[in-house]
Amino acid sequence: MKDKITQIFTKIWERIPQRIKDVLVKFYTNKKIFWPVTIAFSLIFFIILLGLLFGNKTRPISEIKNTPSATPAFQLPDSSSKDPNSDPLQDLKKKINDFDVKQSRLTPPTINFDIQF
Amino acid sequence: MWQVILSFLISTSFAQGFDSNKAYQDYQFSLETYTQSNSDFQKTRDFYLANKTLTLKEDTRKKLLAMLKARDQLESVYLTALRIKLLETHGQTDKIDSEIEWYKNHLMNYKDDDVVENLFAKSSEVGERYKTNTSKVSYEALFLISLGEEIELRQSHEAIYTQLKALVKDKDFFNRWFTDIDLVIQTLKQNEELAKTQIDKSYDDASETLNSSVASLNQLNKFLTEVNTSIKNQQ
Repeated sequence: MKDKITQIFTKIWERIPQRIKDVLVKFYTNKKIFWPVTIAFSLIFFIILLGLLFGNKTRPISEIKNTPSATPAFQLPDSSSKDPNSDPLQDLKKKINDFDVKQSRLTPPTINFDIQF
Repeated sequence: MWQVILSFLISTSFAQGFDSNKAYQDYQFSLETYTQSNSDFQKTRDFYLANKTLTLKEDTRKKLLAMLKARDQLESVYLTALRIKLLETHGQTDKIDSEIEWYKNHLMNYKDDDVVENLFAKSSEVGERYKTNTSKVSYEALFLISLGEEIELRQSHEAIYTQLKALVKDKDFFNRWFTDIDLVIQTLKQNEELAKTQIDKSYDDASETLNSSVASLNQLNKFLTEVNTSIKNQQ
């Protein structure tokens, strides 16, 4: 069994390019860096694993509350809007303010008719 | 090439539901294309005028052809944007339809091997058409779009006014208010009729009349809000 595992790892090791092998060997030989890095990554991995295994799977759902808005003075009976807080007169006032008599967006483009040469 | 791209964009837009916003985007795209081709033409022409060689003359001819095509395309797309907006505001599109048709047909007349003199002549046709028809039709369309929007605003207020009148209990108290409201509505209707007669002579006058209606619409809105609040208080 041990031989089989060694064989697999040897095969993988052989497939790794020489440049990466050199870096890995250099990393392993420098024990002052190797152990702290390995321990730190192991801890992170271990914490993630614990979190996945024993973590609370149900997320707390925060209650969504609408921003309180001023109620209209009077709700018209045949109001086309389904929003109970909408005021048709306020909506129309906004439309009046947005009303652009000159239709600025659509003014005719400036055309060049001077083409002689 | 750009015409193929534009045609593709237009056909895609139709497939997705062509509205005034999409038509406006197409117009912006055509405007950019035209501005670029006009700028290219101007630069090449200046270069040619400074150094009159046959090669530069040919370059200028090609740039001119591209610019003229882009110009016809721009007019056609611009008028289409007006047409869509007119349809949305329930305006008549007969005049604008014939203009679009004219520019589409004129665009087909350009040939890749057109000599400079032919291009000048074809450009003059557009210049003449623009002066006699296109400019007038465009401004008339702009007016009709605004008129349609104004009428829609007035009618929406009138619908609310009818509902409020039905809710009133103290008729004597509110009757004096209603007289003032009726007067504002009357003013708005008179302005609409006046503007309709003015558009044949001057776009500016017709536009000014419609502009004065904005103040009346604001007043109408204010009056109805006041009636609305009073009814609520009386309940």
